Amino acid sequence: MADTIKKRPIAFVALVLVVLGFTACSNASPSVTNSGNTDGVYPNKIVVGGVASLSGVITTDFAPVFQGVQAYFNMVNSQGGVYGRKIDLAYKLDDASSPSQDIDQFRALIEDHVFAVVGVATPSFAGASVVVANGVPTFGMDINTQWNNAKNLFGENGSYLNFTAPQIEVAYLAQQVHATKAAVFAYSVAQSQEGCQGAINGLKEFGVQIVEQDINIPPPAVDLTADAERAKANGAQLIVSCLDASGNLVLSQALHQIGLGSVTQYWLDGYDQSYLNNPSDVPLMQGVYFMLQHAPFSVGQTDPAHYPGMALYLKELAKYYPGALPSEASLDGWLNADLFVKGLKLAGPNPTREKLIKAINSITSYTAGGILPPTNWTQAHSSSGMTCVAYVQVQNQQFVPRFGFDGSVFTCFSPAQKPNSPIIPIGEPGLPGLRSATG
Amino acid sequence: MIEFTTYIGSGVSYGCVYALLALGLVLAYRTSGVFNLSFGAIAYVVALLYSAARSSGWPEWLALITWVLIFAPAMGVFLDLVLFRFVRARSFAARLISVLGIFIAVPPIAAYLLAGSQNPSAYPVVFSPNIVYFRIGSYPVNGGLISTVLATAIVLIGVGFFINKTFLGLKIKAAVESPRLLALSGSDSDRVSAVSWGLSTLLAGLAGVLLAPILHSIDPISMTALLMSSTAAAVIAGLSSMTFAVVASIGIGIFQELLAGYLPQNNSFSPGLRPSLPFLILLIVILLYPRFSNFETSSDPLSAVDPPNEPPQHVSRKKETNLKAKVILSCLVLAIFISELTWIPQNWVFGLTQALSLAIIFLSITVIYGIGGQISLCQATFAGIGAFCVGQLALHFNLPVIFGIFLGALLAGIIGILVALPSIRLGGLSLAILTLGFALLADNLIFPQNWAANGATGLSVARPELGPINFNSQRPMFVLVTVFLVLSIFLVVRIRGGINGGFLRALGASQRAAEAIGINPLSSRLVLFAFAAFLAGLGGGIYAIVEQYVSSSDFVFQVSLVYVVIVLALGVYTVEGAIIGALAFVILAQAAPSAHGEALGALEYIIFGLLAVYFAIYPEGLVERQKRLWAKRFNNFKDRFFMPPPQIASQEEPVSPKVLPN
Repeated sequence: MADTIKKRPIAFVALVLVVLGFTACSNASPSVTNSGNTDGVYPNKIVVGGVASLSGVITTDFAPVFQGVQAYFNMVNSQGGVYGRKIDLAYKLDDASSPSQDIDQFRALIEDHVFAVVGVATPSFAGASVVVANGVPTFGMDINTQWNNAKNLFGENGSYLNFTAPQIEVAYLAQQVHATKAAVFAYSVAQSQEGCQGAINGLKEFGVQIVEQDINIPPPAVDLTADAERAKANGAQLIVSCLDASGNLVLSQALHQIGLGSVTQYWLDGYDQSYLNNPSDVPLMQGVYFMLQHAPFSVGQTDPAHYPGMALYLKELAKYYPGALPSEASLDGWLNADLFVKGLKLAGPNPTREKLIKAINSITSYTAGGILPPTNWTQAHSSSGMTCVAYVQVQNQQFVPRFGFDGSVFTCFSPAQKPNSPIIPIGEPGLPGLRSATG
Repeated sequence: MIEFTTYIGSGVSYGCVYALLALGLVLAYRTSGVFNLSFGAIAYVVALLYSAARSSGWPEWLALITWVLIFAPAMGVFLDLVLFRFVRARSFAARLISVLGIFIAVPPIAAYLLAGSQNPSAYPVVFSPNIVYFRIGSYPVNGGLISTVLATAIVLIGVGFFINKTFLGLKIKAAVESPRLLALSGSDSDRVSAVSWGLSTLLAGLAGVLLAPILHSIDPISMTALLMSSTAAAVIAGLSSMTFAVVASIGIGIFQELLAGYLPQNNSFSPGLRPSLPFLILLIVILLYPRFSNFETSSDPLSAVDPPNEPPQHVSRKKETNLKAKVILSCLVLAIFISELTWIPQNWVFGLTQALSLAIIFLSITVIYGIGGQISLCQATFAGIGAFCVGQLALHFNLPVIFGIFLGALLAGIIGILVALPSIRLGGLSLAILTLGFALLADNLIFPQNWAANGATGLSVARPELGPINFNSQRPMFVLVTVFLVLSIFLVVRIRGGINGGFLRALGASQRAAEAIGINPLSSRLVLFAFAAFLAGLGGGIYAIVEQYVSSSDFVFQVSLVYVVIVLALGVYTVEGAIIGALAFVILAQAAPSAHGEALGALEYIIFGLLAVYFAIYPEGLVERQKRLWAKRFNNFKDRFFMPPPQIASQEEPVSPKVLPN
């Protein structure tokens, strides 16, 4: 044997591997543990952590999610905490936009005995398997399907996504601007393409013709004149873009320069005041529509009575992070922290992970003080419920609410809406800002 | 149907951006002999500073003079002073690694120092991309295109004139070809080198501030993506002809836009074909016309006056030092192994297991460079092939993962042969560029497929079950990975000491002499490259079962570059260099966020990027050098306190008068 090893080392190693391979007749099932029900709970504090993509290949700015979480916890702690316990956001980990590093960071949090994970903002929530297996309550941005169907995962406004489900809200926009032909653009990366799939299906379902579709644009976009020309040549009346904000600006620039500047544009990304503070971007964003899952930031100042949650968010963000502009990432962090604290209060003075999860899953109408359309957490893990969005349009360097329903900035749609028929928005009990509700 | 001129116009627009960057690559290579992959990183830093200055209300001219005309060249001169002049006369690997160090370390440092000052939309220089100045057919020519065309023309004519027609330009070229000859002529080669680096970073800075308003963003990833696309054009131009680089860049840009217009959309390869087109062209050119990639045709005519290179220090160290190091290392390894199986917490066991799986991938770099003297920039890609093979075979055929690891490694080895065949005979920079091209092609065209990395979602990979042993627990998994690592080390050591290792050493000493005694360089290097790819695939498969989840982002080309820098900086000639490199990488990656908060999450990249400088100065690497230094300190300590009184003292005693016999 020793002689064989010396003379034919590669053959020996191959033999060892083959033997190992054949004897390993099966693959193990993932292990599930549900211990540590009170991990991170101390007499005077509760320790939590968060995970976000702070670096790596995805350029979207997720970092402000921790600002939102921290600002909310600072506010709660300054009021004495929850049942005398302060909330300590002890870990702010970076998954570098990598699914495997995401898993590692969630493992690290569990090994460091956090009670819950509050503030998750990542394009690849691979760590879902770890927190689900360990029963850890987790709160974050619901932008991946990994949030679906687990009772301990809480997105900012429900935990169910279906990228291919027809997006009636995009079709409604087409209806409102009288567009019957649309062009759709996305990068040649899966996250961008997935973002557009539901829009394409929604437009088709309500009779809008897709006259131009380029979902293979290599990032970064340098010149999209050819795409804009094709959209123009095919008579597109609505441009749907799932590029990032900088790609959208390149696209809009091309549209303006070929004389299609007045066409209606809907951007998935770019609802960010910092762009409107840049004079060269303002003309490119003029008239562009965005659809928000939450109330626009502006209502916190224009209508604090109906949207007190938004007013509070703006006030506390300015207090703890002077100079920071409101952003969707920091708002989502704020909402995650709000739901966590609400659940903690409902769970009572001796919280466990199970009690917290149960408490939140019994909430039937959660709006975070008018920031969100009502979320029914008894169902929100397995269905998206009624679709409600807030439309905003850029007008004179501001994001101005559009459409809405009966005074509310939100527009809701019935799940029973028939395809290829005029879309009629509906109201929902508890919808923030309804005139009829206030009387 | 839109006008053909629009496709051409858009293509020229992309092409001019590529051209500006390709000119930077060609210029850097011609004036410094360095394939400057850090060009994008420097462009990013200068663009960031320019934007920050404009955001603070600086006038355009002041920001331009301060950051582009003064700071950017000063940065080049500084880098030359502290790094590049030390590697100028060294191997291409030392030069390549030094720029990779900058590529890795500089963007996170800049992002950290200038956090918050980045404006999402950058400021235009002279011509605004938002304004259409005139039209060609239906194509609107805006300020972005005018800027890039003008900058390209100025660089092409101005720098071309400077390099080819001025005395200083001639000196710069001479400094690349033969610094010794230049020194003999009485010129200061250090000053010439500083000028060439200043020129190169000036161009990078200019490219940064011109491209930022066109891209409407300032981020290193976009800049690097464009730089990689322009690499194809620079290579097609043989890294020498600036005119040809511009023509090739514009050709690639136009071809990409025509593909967008005429390529059928409904097939699975379409999404990846446009972004990967430059790399496809790069591979095809090298395959069909290998002469294009023979960059190292010129050599220093005075190189023969140098004494032969010193052998690597691990070869020349004393037997006694070797033995002591081995004993100490063995005791340490045994202590760690026993601790891992007994008292160390599970999370640390997991971390160490992760590091050991990475160490197998790192060993593949030890094989390629440490034994074969070649640089491969796609070892993470081979690891990805192994990892995705394991996941897909388990998913679709329910194949035991251990067997899948073996098949994945074999597949990686076979692909390794296919990759290496076109340029292994050239080696050096050609092989490095070809492997980089393959990594980029895999990132854009292969890994995004559902049958590979399962799109953006990634793949869950189960752990094995061996009879009663369930490897979901960390300690059994640690033992299994240790077994694989030991087998890998065994193979590496055997190959290094075996016939092929001897052949490669002979080839390293003198290729002609080796060929004269019947050694076939092609087959020797090919076997080694295939083995390295096999080893990387094996490591990737094991990494997959350790992690239980892999995705394409785990194996992108940047990861390969980081791996190469780590192994070379820590010690590429020894097995322990790879292992300690993997351990350090995992420990730093875990420690960085908690130690420094969210702003410096990429601490490990900064540290390893800076360590690349260490390799440039000490090619034996940090581990080997420290080992020797500590051995020396230990010997000095021992000599001082534990040695018997020196014999020489007794000789100095006065000699007693001899009693002569009467």
